[in-house]
Amino acid sequence: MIPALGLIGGLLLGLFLHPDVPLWLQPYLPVAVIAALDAVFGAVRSMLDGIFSDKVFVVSFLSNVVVAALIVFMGDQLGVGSQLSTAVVVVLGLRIFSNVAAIRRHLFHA
Amino acid sequence: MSGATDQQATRPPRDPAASMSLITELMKNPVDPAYRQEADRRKAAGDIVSTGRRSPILIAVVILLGFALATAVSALRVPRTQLDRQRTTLISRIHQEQGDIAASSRRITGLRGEIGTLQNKALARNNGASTAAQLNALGASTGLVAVHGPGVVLSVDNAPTGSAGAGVDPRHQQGTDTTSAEGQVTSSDLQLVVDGMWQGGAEAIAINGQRLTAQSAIRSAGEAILVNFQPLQPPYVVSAIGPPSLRSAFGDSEGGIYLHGLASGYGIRTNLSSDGSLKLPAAVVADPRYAKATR
Repeated sequence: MIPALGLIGGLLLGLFLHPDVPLWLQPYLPVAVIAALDAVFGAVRSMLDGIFSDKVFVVSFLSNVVVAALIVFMGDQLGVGSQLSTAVVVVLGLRIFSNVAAIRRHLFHA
Repeated sequence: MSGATDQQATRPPRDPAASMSLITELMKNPVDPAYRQEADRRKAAGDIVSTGRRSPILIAVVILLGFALATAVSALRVPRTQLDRQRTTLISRIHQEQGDIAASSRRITGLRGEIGTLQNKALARNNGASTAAQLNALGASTGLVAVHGPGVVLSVDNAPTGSAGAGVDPRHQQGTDTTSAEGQVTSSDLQLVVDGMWQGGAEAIAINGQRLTAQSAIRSAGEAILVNFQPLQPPYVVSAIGPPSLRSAFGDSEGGIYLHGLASGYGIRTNLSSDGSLKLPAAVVADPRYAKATR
């Protein structure tokens, strides 16, 4: 419950403060957000599995975001930035989908 | 993925679907294997298996995540609306300038007409009736004067979507501009058609109300066909004043045969009809400033 409240609080904070994102950071934002969502859904699933660990969550969240951004950065340098971000989105999207499916099975037994 | 390494040890030497194993792994074990390892470690150590959800670092990360989400959404959405705004202002400016051009052109034509009548009047006063007739004849053949007479009207339109080039815009394939592949009328098609009209004996031609003169060019810019530097909208209506034989002469000319080929080959819609009294507008042409008659 408290993490959910924290998430909503962060969302409101971001919406009201409306910080300016520097231009060089903008290509990495979508991929970083997808990576963060992947970490969150993985955490929710592990929570339902009863094996949640805050340390693992924090580490996986941060490393996911950094690695996703790094891949896109590398792709940009090599001139295949959009393709690599597509690859990242596909892989993380697959993970998100199957995690959400597992969460759904846990919650609704269906 | 440290969990993958110990799996590899027990795996048969060569996976027949080795290239698919990444996706299979992804679909089978989407949750980070680190969770399982950490839980096993804690279980071995006698700790509680699942840690609480109230550790300050977790809450900090979650707040950070929400913040980042909101920031990303707002940051990525703002430029698009700005882009749209710029686009609409550009479009409205184009429309405004086009309106200005049209108004100026109308004014030029009006003034030219006025000049013509005044000229005729002045010439008539000085017994220059033959000069006036000569001026009118010259104006008619150069396109500086509006003309009327019998002739033909030919409308040419792109092939209906769904035939030859269904769904594909041929202009987006580079290099197809000069051929009329995929059912779009191109500037070179119109050039050939107009050449056929001249060949058939046409004396004055206008396309969609743009009178052709010696300075006229039929060109393409992007997807549009420009005549006298004005973009035209299909269907392209070629009105030509000429002798009664013009219709059959055009059909036998190179341009007419080419057009027939376009119609049967690519589905380009054409319609040729005779008209007893056509009215063609005058062209807006700048008077020559540097070119002087040699005679």
